[in-house]
Amino acid sequence: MPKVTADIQTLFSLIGKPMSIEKLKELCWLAKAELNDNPQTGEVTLELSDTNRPDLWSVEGISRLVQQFISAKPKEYSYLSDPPHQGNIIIAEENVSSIRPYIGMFLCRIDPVTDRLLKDMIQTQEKLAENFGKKRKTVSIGIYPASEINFPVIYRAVKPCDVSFIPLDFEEKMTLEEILSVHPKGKEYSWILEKRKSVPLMIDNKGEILSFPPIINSRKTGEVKIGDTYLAVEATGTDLSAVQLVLSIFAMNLSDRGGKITRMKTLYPDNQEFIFPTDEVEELSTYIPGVNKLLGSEFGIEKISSCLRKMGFKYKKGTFDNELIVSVPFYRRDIMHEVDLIEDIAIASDYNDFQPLMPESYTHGGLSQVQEKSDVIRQVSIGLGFLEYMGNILTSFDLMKNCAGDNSDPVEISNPMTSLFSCLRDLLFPGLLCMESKNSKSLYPHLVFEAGETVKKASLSTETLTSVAYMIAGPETTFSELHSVLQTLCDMLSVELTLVERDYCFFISGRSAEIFLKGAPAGFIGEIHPVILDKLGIRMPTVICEIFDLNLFFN
Amino acid sequence: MDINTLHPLETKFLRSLSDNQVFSPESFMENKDLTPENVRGVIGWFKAKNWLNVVEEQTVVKAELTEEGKIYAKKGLPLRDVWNILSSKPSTIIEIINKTDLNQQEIGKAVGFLKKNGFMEERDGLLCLVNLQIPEYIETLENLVSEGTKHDIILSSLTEKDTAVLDDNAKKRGSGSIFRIKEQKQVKYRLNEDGESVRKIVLSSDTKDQIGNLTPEILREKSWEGRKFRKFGISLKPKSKPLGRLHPYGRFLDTVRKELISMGFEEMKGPIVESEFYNMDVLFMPQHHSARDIHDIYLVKDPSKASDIPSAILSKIASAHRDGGRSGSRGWGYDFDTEKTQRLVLRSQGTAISARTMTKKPPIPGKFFAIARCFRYDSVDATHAPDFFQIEGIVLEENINFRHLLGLLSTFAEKLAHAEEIKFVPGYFPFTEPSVEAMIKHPQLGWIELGGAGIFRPEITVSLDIPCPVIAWGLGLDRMAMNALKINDIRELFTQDIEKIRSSKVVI
Repeated sequence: MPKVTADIQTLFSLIGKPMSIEKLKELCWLAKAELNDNPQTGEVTLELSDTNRPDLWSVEGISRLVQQFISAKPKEYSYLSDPPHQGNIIIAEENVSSIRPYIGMFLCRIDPVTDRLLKDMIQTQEKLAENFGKKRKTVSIGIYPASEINFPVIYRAVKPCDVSFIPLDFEEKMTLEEILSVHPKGKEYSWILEKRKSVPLMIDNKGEILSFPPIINSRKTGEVKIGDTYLAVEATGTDLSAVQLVLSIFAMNLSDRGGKITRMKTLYPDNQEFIFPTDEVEELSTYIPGVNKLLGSEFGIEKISSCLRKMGFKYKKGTFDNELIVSVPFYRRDIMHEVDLIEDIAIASDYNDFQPLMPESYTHGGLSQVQEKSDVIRQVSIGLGFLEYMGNILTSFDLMKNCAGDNSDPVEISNPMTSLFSCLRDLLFPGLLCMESKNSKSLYPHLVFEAGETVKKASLSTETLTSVAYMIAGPETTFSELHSVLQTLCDMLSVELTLVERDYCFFISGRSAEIFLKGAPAGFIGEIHPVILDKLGIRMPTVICEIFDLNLFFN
Repeated sequence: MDINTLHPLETKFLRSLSDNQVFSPESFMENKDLTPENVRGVIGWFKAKNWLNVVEEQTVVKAELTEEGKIYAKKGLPLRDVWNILSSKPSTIIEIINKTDLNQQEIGKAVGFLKKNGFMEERDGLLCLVNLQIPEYIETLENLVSEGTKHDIILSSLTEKDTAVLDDNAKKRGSGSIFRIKEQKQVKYRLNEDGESVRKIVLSSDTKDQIGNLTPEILREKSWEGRKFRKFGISLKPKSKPLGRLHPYGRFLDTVRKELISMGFEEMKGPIVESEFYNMDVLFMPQHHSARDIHDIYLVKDPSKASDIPSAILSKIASAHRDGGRSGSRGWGYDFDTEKTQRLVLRSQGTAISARTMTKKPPIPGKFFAIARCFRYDSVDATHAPDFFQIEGIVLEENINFRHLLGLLSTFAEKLAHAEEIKFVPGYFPFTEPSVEAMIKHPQLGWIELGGAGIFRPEITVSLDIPCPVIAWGLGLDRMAMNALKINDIRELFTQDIEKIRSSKVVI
């Protein structure tokens, strides 16, 4: 979930008027954002739950949404209808098209950059490149003092050992190869260019290196400072629409901060050209009855129009009376279907104004079969004096193996976070023993059971089963005590129980057996061998039994 | 003085005393009914009640076994070992060493003793016994040692001969000997006036003929007729009994299930190891979604791929991702990877179970729910458990709409969370539109999240040929349980502490 920090005064000035924190908090829900304020710093943090709306991941984005809502007027960005700069263009060369093909740039004249604006720009750059751009993989952004650049700018692929320049935060010239292995940013992002024989580079008309995307800018021409008044913003990436989107968002943000945006053209091989930020707009029809059906409302065309305006959409009347044709600006890439517009209409009219209703049809409720059976076992078990335990399914491979040896073959995780949670339990009793090892101080005897899910390997797949296990630990505990529990349970469920003596590595030989229910192999029972007890630090005689699939009690 | 409040040991002790008897714990050494430990306990209680006078404090000299002495008590005296060897045949020192596990010093000492006292002599380098009759000294010593294993030996109680043998084998605080001599303070008591009067009451109350525990024999023989029943100290707090009971969280989940069933929901179950297909692709989460990164989801090592993905549905889902398919959506606009869809993961959201239900032509109208263990790639702490429960479900009905989302959430707030105030805010779930989150007012914590709901995107329902809108809802179950069970650490939901499970309060 993206998190944005914003200066409260900046927020108010962008919204156009101050308001109470409470009011602001409420308005932020429109952006699906939870606002927390920090009165000491004058800053607020916003947690945004919509991972599909990068246009909101900035101070300007949130303010835009709130401001449009309050004024019920979609914001206009007139630069989108201006022609692109005539002389200043980018030329993308053929050789980069197989590496990181897309590049776009725009220019911005602005009042001297303040500390605050610089912070906000860097935050937006980071959110867009790190979160939306998958840690710069699909898209990354560079900002430059534009007065240093001699256009046209060339975007080309070079061999990493052939080229050198002084990167940001360093004093000396380094080859691209050195940057990748030595510079902190190089080390952090080199994985994006891994195994590439050549890498992207931006050079201006005088041969000055601007940057080495997506890694680092040049110290000389790629560092924006407080007081700068002329900026160039560039994005490179593997996906054209992502490059278009982040530049659209960045341009709007700078425009909201008083910047004057000039669009720029990129020339691609094959004489293709794109202008950034793009003026593409998608038109989407919405029908009044459709809106009302989905929302359960009785909105008229006036109400719906006003809601659309509040959410920043322009629209026109359609061919039908009950149709509106909505212009979806490029930055709203999340609008994929009419339902997305309808949600915005509902948000604008306030969710709390809808009268809640219950579904009307009769349906018959019930437990799943396995839960029904599990509940029978649980009820009988507590009647037999057992305490119910619930353990974690994600567990340690070592615990399973230490307790059950070759009788456990758990499904393992290929990317475990720690060895404590590295596999799925395929047996319950190791969890019970682990619990027992931590309870030497509580009143004995311990009678504990668990009826819970386990995961077993099956041919080419896995199977989730509900198993049952019992454990008794106490000074006078023996095999026969648990045997009688099992027998009582089977008698009660009218299932025939047979024990066949069998050795297991974790049981005392001669005091263990395989369990058969109605002739089918179903589990095991026995006294835990002192070697295992000792390993786990259990100081009481302990017996356990396990039934792999509780359905076997009922078939 | 209500003598019924006396501990049975106290009564027993008072009965055992004669008038003005002087006693100490040691004086009960030979008593069958009371051990010196029992008496020490009773003396402690009586002291606290101020029922005793100290008659005299004297120092008693005692002998106790040293560590070595304790070993000899178990495996026999070296003297005895050497004697036994020599009584079978005359031997050299070397032979004795080979036949016993004694060290040279022990053998030397034994041999020296036998020689010095004329029990043994040396002939042609062999040690021979003078007389095969075992010396009384050895037997006496053995008796003393065995006495010493039972209790300390009071020196003043010994005969002269015994004293000599013991002295011979003891050193004060010494090592290398069998006995150690120590001095111990011994206090002798007598009941004072209060104590004596209690004793009188106990004696006169004559509970001897009263019935203690009622037994089958007493009932059978009707021997209870005409007798009194001894009063029990029923005001004493008894020990609590280890009981069998359901786990508090398990019981909480039972009540949740019961509520949902009463609303007409049928329970679903699904596998813990799930394919990305059901866990995400069916739910229209794009394959490049960050929740699908290796750092956000657990991948399964072996097997690593699912083999049960229905190809007809797969192709519809793939085109929904690519260009919206038949749903009228723009789609995500990327090349759907049919390899990735097979990848096996640990179920990260309960909605995967709903996805499975929806691919199986569910009845309409229909209401389904699942309580599912889910797994998120998070480090474990007070708010994150390695696996956690999610409760979620779907409602399929011809004419349901956004207002029904709010209705369901309001009902859950009232019936499951017992909340009095609820409000709705816009929410985001990749698979629903519109989406809503419900917040409830908690008396201490303020507004907290209850859960969310939404209407499944048409990209999903159209691809699965479901001819009506489908509501999806989910609730933060662990959080609700923590509130209900009044715990602050999520790990305690799965507590391993037996006492906590035994003693947790019942919540309805």
